[in-house]
Amino acid sequence: MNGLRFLLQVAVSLGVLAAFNGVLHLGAQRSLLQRNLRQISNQASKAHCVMLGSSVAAAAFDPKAFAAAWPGTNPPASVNAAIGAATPVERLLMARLVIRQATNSPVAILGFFDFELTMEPESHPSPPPPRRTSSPWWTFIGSMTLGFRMDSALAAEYYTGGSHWEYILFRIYRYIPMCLERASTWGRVERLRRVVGSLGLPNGITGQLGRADDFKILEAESVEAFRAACARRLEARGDFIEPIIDRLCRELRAADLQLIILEMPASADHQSRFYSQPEWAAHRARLAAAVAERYQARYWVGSNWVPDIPGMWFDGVHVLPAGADQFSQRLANELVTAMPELGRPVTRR
Amino acid sequence: MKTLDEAKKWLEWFGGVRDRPPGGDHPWHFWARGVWWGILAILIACFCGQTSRFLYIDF
Repeated sequence: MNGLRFLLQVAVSLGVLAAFNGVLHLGAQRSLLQRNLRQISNQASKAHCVMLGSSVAAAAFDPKAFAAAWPGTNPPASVNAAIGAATPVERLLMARLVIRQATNSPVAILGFFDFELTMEPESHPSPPPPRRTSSPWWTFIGSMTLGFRMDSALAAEYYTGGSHWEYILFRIYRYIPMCLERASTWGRVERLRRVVGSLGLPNGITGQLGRADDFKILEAESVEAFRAACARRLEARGDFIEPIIDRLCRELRAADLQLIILEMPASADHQSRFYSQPEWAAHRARLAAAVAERYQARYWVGSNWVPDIPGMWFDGVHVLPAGADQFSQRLANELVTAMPELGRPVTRR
Repeated sequence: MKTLDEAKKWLEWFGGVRDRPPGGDHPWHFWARGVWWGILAILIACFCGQTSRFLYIDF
């Protein structure tokens, strides 16, 4: 094989790769993330109530059930801008999207479970500003790629930790669909792998998010581990609230949005094992006091809002659609009582 | 038997064991090998690097 022929073959293979990248780019326009972004962007402009948070909030809040439960004929418009499988940076970006679009001074509800809002002291003994995300940005897939798609300057601040070299790579990486959109092909491969892997085995519980058993890793391994995690946070000298979450809350307040911090529903097992511990009560009290002082935010305990009966729970912390109905109805009732003026026209300052 | 032997030679060429395809070189062989390399690179991209706990698949 002479050199020219070899180069010809390399050029052809690069052409195939370029075509594949083009197909991925076009397919990505119809991805769940892009569809959600477009929907949230449209709905946020007229929303009076915005749900922010992780997959727990994303699964639990149903704007239709919320509107149906609101008394009267003119329920406040709402939008679910919570984002699953993401870091706090992507939640900050989502909050910024809502702030940019909002015209009604909506109330923002930041739903969380366990320690999503508070700082793990041992993993960041002395966080230098700006603090990096715990995982490197080149491992991000799916929802975590939000920072490559919007407000990339802010995302790079956290993703690259101020490294100039990494920043250059970050800027290049976002234009290569085979890197940025690789989750779309991985998802298909993973589905195939799961089908083949489950042949001859009893069916496990699956839902829109995947396999229920996989999500057990989101919960603490044991009661002792949970109590220790509470204690570490309470005893640490530095920040109690995660700095990116702190920035998110401050930006919401600066944009004149009212803020409610909501402890999201948890299964009866999760509540009895973890939330009944005295350390969690202390963690809750300190968090409630901190958000009231820093952001003038209300702290609501919604961990018992969804009953633990069949058909309500996907796993210990994510609800099924029937559970989302329950949660959204309860949230509407609580908001009617606390903020009866919600939904009336208000002009932002 | 002859067909199997022929198929084996083609596979060996595709796999890089042989320098030349059965029956000698033709111009389209180089294009085909380029396409084949591209497809292999795509397959590698599809199957490599996944974490063992691939939680969320509904992207």
